[in-house]
Amino acid sequence: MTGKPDDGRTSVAVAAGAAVGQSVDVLEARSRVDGTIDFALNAEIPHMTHARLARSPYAHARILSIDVSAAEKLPGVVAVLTAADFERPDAPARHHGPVVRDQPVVCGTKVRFAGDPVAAVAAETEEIAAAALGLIEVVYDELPKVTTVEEALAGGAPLVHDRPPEARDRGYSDIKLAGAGGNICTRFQLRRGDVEAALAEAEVVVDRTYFSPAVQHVTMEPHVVLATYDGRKRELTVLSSTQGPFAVRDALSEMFGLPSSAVRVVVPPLGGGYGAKTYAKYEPITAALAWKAGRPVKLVLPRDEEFISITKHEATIRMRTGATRDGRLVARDVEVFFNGGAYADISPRLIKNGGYSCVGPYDIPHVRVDSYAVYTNLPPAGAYRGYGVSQAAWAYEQQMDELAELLGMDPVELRKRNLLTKGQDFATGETMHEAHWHQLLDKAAAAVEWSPDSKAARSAEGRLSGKGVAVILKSTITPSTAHAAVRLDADGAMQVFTSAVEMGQGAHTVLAQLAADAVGIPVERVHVTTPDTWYTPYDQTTSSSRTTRAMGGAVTKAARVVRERLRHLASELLEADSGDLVVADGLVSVAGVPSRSLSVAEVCYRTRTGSISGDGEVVTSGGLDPETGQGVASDHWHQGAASAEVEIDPATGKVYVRKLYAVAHAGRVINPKLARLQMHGSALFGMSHALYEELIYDNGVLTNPNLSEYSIVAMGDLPARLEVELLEEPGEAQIHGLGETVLPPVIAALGNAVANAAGVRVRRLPMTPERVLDAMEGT
Amino acid sequence: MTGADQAIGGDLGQRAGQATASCVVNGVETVLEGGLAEPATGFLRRLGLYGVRETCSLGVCGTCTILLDGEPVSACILPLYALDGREVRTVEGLESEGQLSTLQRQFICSQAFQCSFCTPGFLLSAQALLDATEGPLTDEQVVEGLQGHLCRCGCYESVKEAVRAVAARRQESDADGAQPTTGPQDAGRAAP
Ligand code: FES
Ligand code: FES
Repeated sequence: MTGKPDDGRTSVAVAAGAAVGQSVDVLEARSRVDGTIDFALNAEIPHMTHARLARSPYAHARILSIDVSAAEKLPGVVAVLTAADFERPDAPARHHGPVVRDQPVVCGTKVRFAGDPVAAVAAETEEIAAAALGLIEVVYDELPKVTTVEEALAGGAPLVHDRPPEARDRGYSDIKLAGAGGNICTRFQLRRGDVEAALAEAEVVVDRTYFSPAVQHVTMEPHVVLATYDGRKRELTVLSSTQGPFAVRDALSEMFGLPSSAVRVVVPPLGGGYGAKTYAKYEPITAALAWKAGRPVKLVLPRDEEFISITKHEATIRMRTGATRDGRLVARDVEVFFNGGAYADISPRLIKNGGYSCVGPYDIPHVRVDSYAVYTNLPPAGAYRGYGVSQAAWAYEQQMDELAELLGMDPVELRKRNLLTKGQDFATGETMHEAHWHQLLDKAAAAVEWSPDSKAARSAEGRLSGKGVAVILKSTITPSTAHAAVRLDADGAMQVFTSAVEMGQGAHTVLAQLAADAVGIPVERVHVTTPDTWYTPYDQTTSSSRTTRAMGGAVTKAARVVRERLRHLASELLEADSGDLVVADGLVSVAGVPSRSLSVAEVCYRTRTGSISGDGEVVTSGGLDPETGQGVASDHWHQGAASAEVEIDPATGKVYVRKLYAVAHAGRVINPKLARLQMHGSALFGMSHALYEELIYDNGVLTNPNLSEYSIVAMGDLPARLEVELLEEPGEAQIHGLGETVLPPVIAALGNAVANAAGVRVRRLPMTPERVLDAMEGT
Repeated sequence: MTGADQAIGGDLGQRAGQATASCVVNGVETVLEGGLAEPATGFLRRLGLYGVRETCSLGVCGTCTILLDGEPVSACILPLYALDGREVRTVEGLESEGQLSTLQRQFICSQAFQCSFCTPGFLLSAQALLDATEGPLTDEQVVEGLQGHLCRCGCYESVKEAVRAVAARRQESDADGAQPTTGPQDAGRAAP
């Protein structure tokens, strides 16, 4: 795989056109307002059974025995799956994991978090399956546990995994497992310059620790899987609400020892993903249960189990930044501890992103980052909107304000003295080909009427008011691969074959817009398939804000191939060079002679063409050296900024958001209406994390696994003013993903605004009234 | 049917000495089938009304909202027997003669959803709010009417915009004849 920017395999640039740049309505909008959209939840097939999972009540325990005989006898129970079933010679493997095969489908000898599955039941109804759970008898021997990073890393700490888990054979090329041992799953490090010397010489040094709690994605639609195993054909079919159809296919094909062609993964539209549905989650256990039951099995995860399915990493970040008196950053030394929970999931990649991101969009000559994924006896943590960057930005953007205070300098000015500019090298050694941070920061500051002497003030009601800004960089998954195919049918309608998952972000709509313009047909004539690994081409994942750019590029290229073939077919009919033909609005015509034109249908009919197909791909490359963190972290960088104005009630500590502003560099916006909605969504996610969300564990057991005790932002909590803005470039421009860019800076900007208003800093998220009050009283 | 239902008294259709329990669902007389204490969501989904969806199953997120005699209620905590003799409206019942309602069309124009899992609940409560009021609505009125609805995709602003747009227009003309307006889609774009 080569990856030079000009090798034709990487991204493509587009210009505004008939469809691109327009706020066209989403495809199949009607089904979204009339209730008929076909979520996985609706799926039903003949002979289908319903699954429920038996889970461990203990965070860490040895399993002494499991007795499922009473459950098996309950009328209506079809099958009960336990670890013992995996001893059959034809059994699938009992462990899986995208990087490290450390996660049991069902636990055998021990459980590693409260909620770890020990058995799965398939029954005629969900109620019977639920009743059967109560009849399963498991004898546990509780073990000492570790739930915090501190406990996990203490000398003599109990081990979550007694033996180092096996790495997956077909891993991801960007992930290098290093530094494992004890409860450390893996480590990432970045080395640039001489940090110790630079810090020793720095005129000022800030040294603080910042904390982000574990939170949950709370997709409104739970995980849903419907699996069918055909033992005679040795074929496995899985319908799943997944963001990664091919990651799931590969996991299942490895687990069942089947060729990838014998595993079919079909993905309907998702009711939200936000990272929760990346990589195999409940597909392995549902498929294994279907294998055992000999009948199709459907699992709809109950809400309380959603909360222990996968979480955002809790992170503790110790950061030291040194600067000169006039505000030049000279060094940064960071230790990042991500609490990965019981299983690795995608932690080994995430800690890398969360590690180098701690440098921020700044030019810092001396950098040292050590980022750890730590195993604990908590539910596994994995991909989450922002992918480690919001935890990092929470640390570095607060630290920038703390440094500014120490220097007696305007925090906006301090940032401007250090922001990366085009052509400069990031800490990984890669060159920043685009740098818009100055402009983004200016916009964010202007949106809250920032002035160097923006000081906390007291409002008429006695509330304290303050303002804050933040600016961030975010990588995208690199290297990555997206393939697409496009087929123009003889009547002029077009089919886009893509494995990009539609989860509400509008992916299919923007892909249709890109395809329409690249061929030259009306967007109404384009249909986009749902992913089906039997038919739609490979795509790595629908995450990391990569779809519009990577899949959009692949679809555009495929569509351009179709247009070339169409022009070639028409050239003889129109007696013109194919180079002189233009295609627009479904008509092929001779440039400058609109009267000499033919419709797509006429061209196909007269050349006896049934359909015209094309393929396209976007393949990026990169990767970092595991020892030095040098290399290419990201094919391109997402760039965003935010600002906030808050008021704090000094009596209660409650934070009221008066204004929230977020801006992202977009390059070319394909659909403004959808782009803005993504930005709104990200901004509100950020606000929700800043102020409300936290998973609270007691003895390793989650105490708030429901939406009444775990609050997410509601309509009444909205900022008095919420503004978003997209930074576009004129002419033909690159597409930049927007799904996550403003989430991290929103959290940090709110943190800075609260500190500005309160006069003290809350370094621990979320900034609940109690925490704000405690901080204020501590002064 | 769960064990708990049997303890309460078995299937609705089989209650001795009683006429079959029924309700009107989206204008159609429908016999209630299922366990007495079973949440109404299961019954409605078995009718193929997939717009009825559960998220929290606790009565706090509004996703499963239905209109019961015109009032929004959470179907996930509503026992099936509570539907007896009542009129039920789900999102599938908002359109008439195959035409989307003004509110539904405005939801599309204002792009008041992303994944749209929550959308039926918002639509039904918003429709109830519109039915119970006259003339334009303030931001506060909309928030009050929809506060019980969660949208993780964060579409609250565009939902508000959609509901207020429909409310504002009903002054000028009969609401059902009004055309949806397009949202402020191109506001907030900047070129460097
Ligand atoms: S699912 Fe009924 S209110 Fe949440
Ligand atoms: S649109 Fe996804 S939850 Fe509301």
